[in-house]
Amino acid sequence: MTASIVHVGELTTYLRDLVEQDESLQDIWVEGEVSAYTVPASGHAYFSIKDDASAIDCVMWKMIRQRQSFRPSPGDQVIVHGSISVYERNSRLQIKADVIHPAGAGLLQLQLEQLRQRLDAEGLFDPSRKRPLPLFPERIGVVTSATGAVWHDIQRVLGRRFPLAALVLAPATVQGDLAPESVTSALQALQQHDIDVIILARGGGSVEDLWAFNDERIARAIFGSRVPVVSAIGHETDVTIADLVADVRASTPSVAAELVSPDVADLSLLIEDFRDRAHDAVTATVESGSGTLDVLTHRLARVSPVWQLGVMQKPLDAARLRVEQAVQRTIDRKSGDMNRIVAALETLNPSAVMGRGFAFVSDQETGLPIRSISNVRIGATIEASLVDGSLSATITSRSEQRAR
Amino acid sequence: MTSNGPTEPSVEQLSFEDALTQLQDVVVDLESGTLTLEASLERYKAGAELAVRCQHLIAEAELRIVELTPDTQESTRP
Repeated sequence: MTASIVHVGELTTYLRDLVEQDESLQDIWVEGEVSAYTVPASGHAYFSIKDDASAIDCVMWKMIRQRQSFRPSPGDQVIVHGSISVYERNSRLQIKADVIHPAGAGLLQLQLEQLRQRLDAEGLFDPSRKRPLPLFPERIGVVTSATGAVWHDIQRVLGRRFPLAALVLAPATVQGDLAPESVTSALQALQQHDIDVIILARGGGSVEDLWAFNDERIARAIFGSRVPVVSAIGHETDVTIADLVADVRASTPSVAAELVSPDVADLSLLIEDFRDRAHDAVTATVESGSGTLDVLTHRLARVSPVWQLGVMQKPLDAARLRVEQAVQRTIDRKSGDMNRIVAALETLNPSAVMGRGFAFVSDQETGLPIRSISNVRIGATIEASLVDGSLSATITSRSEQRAR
Repeated sequence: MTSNGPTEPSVEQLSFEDALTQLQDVVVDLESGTLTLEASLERYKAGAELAVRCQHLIAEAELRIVELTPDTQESTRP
């Protein structure tokens, strides 16, 4: 500042610029005791932190405050992260806090918390962006150490469960300072290959061993992956940033391998089930079809000439029977008649009459029967035929029968 | 039915997923009860072939391993 008279506002602006241009004051962790913590209707939190010597005002905006897992109360010993600024209304220094954490945590832990909150605010953990895993992955990308038990476990599980797939290993260093860059490169390398899902795995270890998986670069590589990522890092109790960004978190590498694949044993059962259902369905169709066929065949038969003949055969048979019976009755009746006629004829048989002593008398000359005494004259010869021969006789007399 | 038209791969060329999906379609078709008897029998025959294809793929499958080398070229490991 030059040696001249300045207005208060100019001084305050100058002080604010001075503070905000100091990078060390823009990313600072401060430990102290919370006092006068208030949250007015605006939702922003206003408080101060102090120690035996000093105090400083703090403000935490509503959006940031709402993401904090820790709710401080007056008297709490806390660590606050933020940037130092000057409140122009009264020129007081304040911390614009973005993280507040109970005291006692290490700096790494606090930095992790800060990163977690930042990435959360950015939407990297948003459940709505987590993608479903493919049902039948043809190619499964794996990011892990090529020499560890993890890679072996993944091969073993997938060899048993879903050997139809191909495993594409992008080997990575999973521990130490080189790990974040190595894992990030491996994740990016897999994007160039035709894969359906990625397993990012590492065996169990200390918090320090797993620390690389809290790296922002890995988080962004997972977030940027075009296929879903399943994470399996350390033990179930160790939750890294990578786990939070991953589409699915598995408790172990073996579980991750199970999550990305169906089991061929289940698939075999499914295929058998399909086969059975297809068989049942087609059988039902055939049976209902042949049922219909039966009905149609029956109906067809009823209109067929053969059926008609069959139908007509009955009355025909009946008619024939009636005719036969009628004929028989006629025959019976006629034969009865005939017997009577024969009997009657028998009575008329002259031989039979002659058997009873009658004779047939005829004129010997003419052979004509003599029906009257007037047919013959005295002295004429007549022939009398008897039952066993004939006699010649001469008429010697004749007498007329008296009228009765 | 035209499930095996000239533009579609034959059953022997289908991937497992495609074969399984088609098999499921066959089952759904058959269970719909809307097919004629003749079409049903044809679909059933297709389904049987698909099931055989799926089981064959499972029986023959052997996990393939590919390892990316640092220059990201694929190299198949025996």
